[in-house]
Amino acid sequence: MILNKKKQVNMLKISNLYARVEEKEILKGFSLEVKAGEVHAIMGPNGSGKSTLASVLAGREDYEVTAGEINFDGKDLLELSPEDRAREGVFLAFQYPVEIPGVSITNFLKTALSEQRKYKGLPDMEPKEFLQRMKDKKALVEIDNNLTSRSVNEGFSGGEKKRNEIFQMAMLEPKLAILDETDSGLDIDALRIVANGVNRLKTPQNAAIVITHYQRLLDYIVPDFVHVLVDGRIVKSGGKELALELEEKGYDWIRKEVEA
Amino acid sequence: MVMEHTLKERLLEVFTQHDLAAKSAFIGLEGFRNTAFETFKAKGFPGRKHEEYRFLNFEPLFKPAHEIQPVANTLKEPAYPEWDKDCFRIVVINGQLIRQWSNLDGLPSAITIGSLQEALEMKNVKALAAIGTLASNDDDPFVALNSALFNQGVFIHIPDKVTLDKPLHLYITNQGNTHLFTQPRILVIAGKQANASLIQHFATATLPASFTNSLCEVQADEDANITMYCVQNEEENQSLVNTIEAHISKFCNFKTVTVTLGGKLVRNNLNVVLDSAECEAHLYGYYHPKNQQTFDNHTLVDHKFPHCNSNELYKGVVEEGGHAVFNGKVFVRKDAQKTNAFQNNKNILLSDDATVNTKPQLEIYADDVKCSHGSSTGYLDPEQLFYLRSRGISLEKARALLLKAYAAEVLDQIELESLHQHLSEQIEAINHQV
Repeated sequence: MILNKKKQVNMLKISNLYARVEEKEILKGFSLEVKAGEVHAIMGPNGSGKSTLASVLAGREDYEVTAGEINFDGKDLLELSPEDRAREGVFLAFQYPVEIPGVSITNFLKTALSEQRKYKGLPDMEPKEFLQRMKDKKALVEIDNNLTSRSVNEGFSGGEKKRNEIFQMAMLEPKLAILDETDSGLDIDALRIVANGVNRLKTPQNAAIVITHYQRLLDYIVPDFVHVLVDGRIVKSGGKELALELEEKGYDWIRKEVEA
Repeated sequence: MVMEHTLKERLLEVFTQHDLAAKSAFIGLEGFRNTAFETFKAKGFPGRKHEEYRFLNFEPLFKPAHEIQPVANTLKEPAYPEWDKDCFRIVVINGQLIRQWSNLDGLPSAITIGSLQEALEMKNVKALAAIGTLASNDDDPFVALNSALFNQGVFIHIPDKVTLDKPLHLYITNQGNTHLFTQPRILVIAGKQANASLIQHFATATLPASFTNSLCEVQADEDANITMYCVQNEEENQSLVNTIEAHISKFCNFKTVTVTLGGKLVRNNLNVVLDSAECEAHLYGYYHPKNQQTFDNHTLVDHKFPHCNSNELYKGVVEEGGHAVFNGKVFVRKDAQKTNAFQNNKNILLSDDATVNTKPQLEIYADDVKCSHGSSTGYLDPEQLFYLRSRGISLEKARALLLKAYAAEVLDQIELESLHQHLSEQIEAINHQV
């Protein structure tokens, strides 16, 4: 019986990761396994290393990995450039999306898709197909039609910026989405739109890591697992009810438990 | 300075041998030529100590002997760029108008385009009245030298209420087998409510190193609308000083877009005098010097009367070994109340071994004005690069995208679509080589 059961392999396996920025050690033995179809929430107090984790996964150059491994779909992620990670299917929704004046969202996404397809040996998408996809995905994240003719994030409100992140995610269809504090700065309506987008994009083949400080987002994006990050490593893991417990008792409770 | 001595002597020789002053006597230019040459003799070539030219070194350029008034016998018709088809065209080689290669089919008959010297000989009232009254010999030795030595030149007169319905492509180049030192000169007179676009296009190639000292004077009468594009695409051994002196009148709208992509040493002196109330000037520039190239933009916007606007944006990308200079003077004189004058200069360095000298100079003597200036020099934004790469775009493409967007702010000021496209593509190609 066991022989017949298809063994589900990890999409992402982070083992004992140490990382620092400007001589300061931030991740200290971080480990995590994510399988296709799963949603993992990473919660933790300020300064626990949540954003560092997102940056290290996406390949930001200011961060130095001093020990540990990250395996993504059988590849050593740390060996790949940021663009190759994206082409392999890693997507980071930025906490602070940067403004790029003069580059329209349409042109930006056309270039990104074309580069990702080239990597996979696929020809450019037909213009008609591209426009159709834009239209469909805009509807999915309830994004204004004229927003995409504007420059990337230039003059966008906080909510528009976050929606634009989810829109890009919808367009690029990554295997692994990392949402870095996507809820920060959003009112409840914007939060619901962003969360709905993420939920509708969920399939058995992809996975998401939702990084957040508050439990609020997890009312809308329901995680399969919740991990608590303190001082650079996961100190407690559980189901979605762990998030509620954290909301109720705060992070000090975990700290005390860890120290005990 | 040995160089200056010999070149000056050589210039003196040319001036007397060719007896330019005497030859000019019959058109009443004798005094004009003589005074200009005396001014040049007194000033000499600007050396490093000359405040306005302190970043430029002309000395090595004139080490080889230069032919000063070349008489080329075997001229070849140049190849024109694609956008030429959307324009009228005149060809200026070694400072002389070459009629057989000009294309003025369909030019409104009221418009005069011809040799400046001939216009003066024919006692053209407009030309005679304007010559020597716009650019001043005393301000700049290159102006003086051009006045003393220019040969033929070009005269353009667009009378009152006449519209030049296609841009005029002024193809300015040098041809010969020796080092040339040429003095193209253009006088543009735009009448009341005249409307015209001119494209000054410098494209000297396949010569021993040569040096062009070009002077273009523009007089725009009331309510004229004049756009000047200045496309500088010389080969890497060619040097150029290009002076534009524009005096604009009431209700005028004067716009320039200067794009410098080629040449060894290129110096632009762009002087705009807002010579009446309620007129406006817009100055845009883009430059990309690389290995051993120096591109220097000196601009002067002179507000003399109230209720005028000026707006200036110069952007550059400086590659390894390249040197860019920007000096933007804005004078707001005592009577120029209610002036709006804005200036901005931005530079992106692509290497640690790239140099920019930038200096805004606002001198404001009126008290009820809005003026600002800004200047920034830095590298491509690493956050923007990372953002683009995090979506799967390669580093090279990400840089090219950002640089294209950066240039677009200036290029989008070019209204002739084919020229806009040509320059965008050329800049894109340069950026891909970076």
